[in-house]
Amino acid sequence: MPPVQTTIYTSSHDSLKDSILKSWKYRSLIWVFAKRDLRVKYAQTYLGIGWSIFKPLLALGIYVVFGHLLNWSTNDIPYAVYVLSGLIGWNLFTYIIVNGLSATYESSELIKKIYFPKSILPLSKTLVGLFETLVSMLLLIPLMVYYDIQLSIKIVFLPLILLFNIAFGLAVTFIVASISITKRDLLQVLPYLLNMAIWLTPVFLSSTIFPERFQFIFEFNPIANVIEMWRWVFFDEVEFKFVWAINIFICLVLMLLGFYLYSYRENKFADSI
Amino acid sequence: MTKHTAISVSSLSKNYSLLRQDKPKQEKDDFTALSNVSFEIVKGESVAIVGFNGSGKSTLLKILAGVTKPSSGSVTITGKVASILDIGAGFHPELSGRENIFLNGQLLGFTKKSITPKLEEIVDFSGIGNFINEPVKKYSNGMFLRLAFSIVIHLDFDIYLFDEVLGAGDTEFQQKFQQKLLNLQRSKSKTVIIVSHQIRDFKQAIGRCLYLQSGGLTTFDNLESYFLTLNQTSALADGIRKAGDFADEVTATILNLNPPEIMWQSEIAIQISIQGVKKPTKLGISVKDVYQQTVFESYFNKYLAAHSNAGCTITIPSKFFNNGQYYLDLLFSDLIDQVEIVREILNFKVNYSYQNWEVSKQSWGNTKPDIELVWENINLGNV
Repeated sequence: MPPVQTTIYTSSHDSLKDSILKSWKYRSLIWVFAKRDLRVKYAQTYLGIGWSIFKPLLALGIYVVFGHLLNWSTNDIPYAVYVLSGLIGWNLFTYIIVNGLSATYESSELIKKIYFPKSILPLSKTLVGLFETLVSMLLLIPLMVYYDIQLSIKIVFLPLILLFNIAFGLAVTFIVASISITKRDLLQVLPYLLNMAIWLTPVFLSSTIFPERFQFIFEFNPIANVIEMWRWVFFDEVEFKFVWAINIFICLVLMLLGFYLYSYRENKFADSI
Repeated sequence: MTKHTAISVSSLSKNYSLLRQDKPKQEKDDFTALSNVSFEIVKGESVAIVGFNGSGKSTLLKILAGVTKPSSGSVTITGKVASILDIGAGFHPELSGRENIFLNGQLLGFTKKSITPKLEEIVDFSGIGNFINEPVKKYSNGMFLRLAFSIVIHLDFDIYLFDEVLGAGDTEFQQKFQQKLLNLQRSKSKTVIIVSHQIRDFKQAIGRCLYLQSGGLTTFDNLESYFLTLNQTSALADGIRKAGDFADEVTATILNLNPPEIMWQSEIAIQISIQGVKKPTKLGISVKDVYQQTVFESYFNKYLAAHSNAGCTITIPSKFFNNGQYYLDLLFSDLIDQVEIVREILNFKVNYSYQNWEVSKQSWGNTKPDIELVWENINLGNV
């Protein structure tokens, strides 16, 4: 006979350790939700999963046209390659935030009927985002071959970059979600904040177009560091900066803090959505 | 708490803070959905949770399912819970029935591996047939319900929480559900908690009855005693009533020896007198059982004269009612079939003595007529 499980519900909150253990126990749901999203995402379209390739292509096309018109400098990397290598990280970052936040509202019916740790929702969106990221990377390879750029051996550090990228995305998601469970004002300004952030991040422009005295913004902007690190793993020309190490550490701490905050507030979900 | 306790609830309270959008922010309002509720449910029990709208039934179930946290107190649950608060909540409209079986099963805590062997059974029971590979957004409400229900009952849970799950089901489905519920109860190992406004439909499968009223709890040993209490609070049962458009006053009296207790073997004589009949009126009676279900209805085929005082004595034959409480309604009907019902003017209790009754002491049904069935051409199937 299998062991009988005993569950106790009280008004007290779980510790960080218990929250992590609960999410771990339900980890299979991360995959279940992600698979569901991927299956459903392009339902009733002709191209189906092909849209995962066409959408970044479209974005790339737009940036390349305007980038050439404005003649932005890109540290000797061909503009198309520069933009795509920046977009990969930026898209993953915004995908996690936008979808991670909307996931709670999307699944409100489920949250009110069935128990599962709510952290599963942003985590599964992260997995979907990761899939799209890998598809975009497949796009970068032919582009680099076309421009005759050597892929750096530093690509072995890719998992580290992904961790960095995801950690910061989740940190923002967890913190914003916990704040906006009861009052949703923050969700209203978030799209504008992200719009602003892309101008302070070297996605389609290089930090060098900003005057020297504003450079510190790029130093202290974690997502700017993430994007630069993406280029670091792809291209030999980009050099390692020590500030990245500090940034990774800060992002991991922020993510854990966010996770704790989120778990602390999660019992409010069913009552407030 | 003993070894066999499935659910133990102690001094459970739940408050909701209201989002009063009509008031300034400073004034905070709290709503108490449950206050200081305690009870224990033993493994294998089937329990009904009853109460009027807003009495806290759904909140209690949500807490048992872990969907929402208590404000104070604690709940201890031993076993795997199927929280079917809304059947099919985990369905995704774009996915096929088959994919949703896995999705829903996994949401309820089962692995894909453990669901696969039951797939065929689930599809069979649901009666969905070839539609199983269509996206469920194309299903009718009934198909949706049948599939969702089929998933839940074929997976192996210890505790089932049902909250008003029968809404969209047709008669056939409801019968299937009741049958399943009865089997769960008879298995003695599954614990069932059911919330329904049609709880009398489950009277055979339900043991104790938890009655929630403005957040507090009263426990009844069975559904019958719950209904008895419920009826008592509504019935005046003094035997005198007004009859609105039809008469000034009606009086009903039981002529038996010591009413309202009546032996199964005796006839029941009821005297009715009507003062001030206002228009030509047909008189009838209706007898209901404790679950408010009509046992029979009967009219006298002549009209009472207008502007008169009328009366009669009605005799209900002996050896007819089963054990239990019954209520008498008087029915008035005029020439154009307008009807007025004087509800529960009388109640009486029939005692059935169990001598010579071998099959079962308790038998369901609201009548126990003294008739002999003829069992003939019996083939016991000996080889």
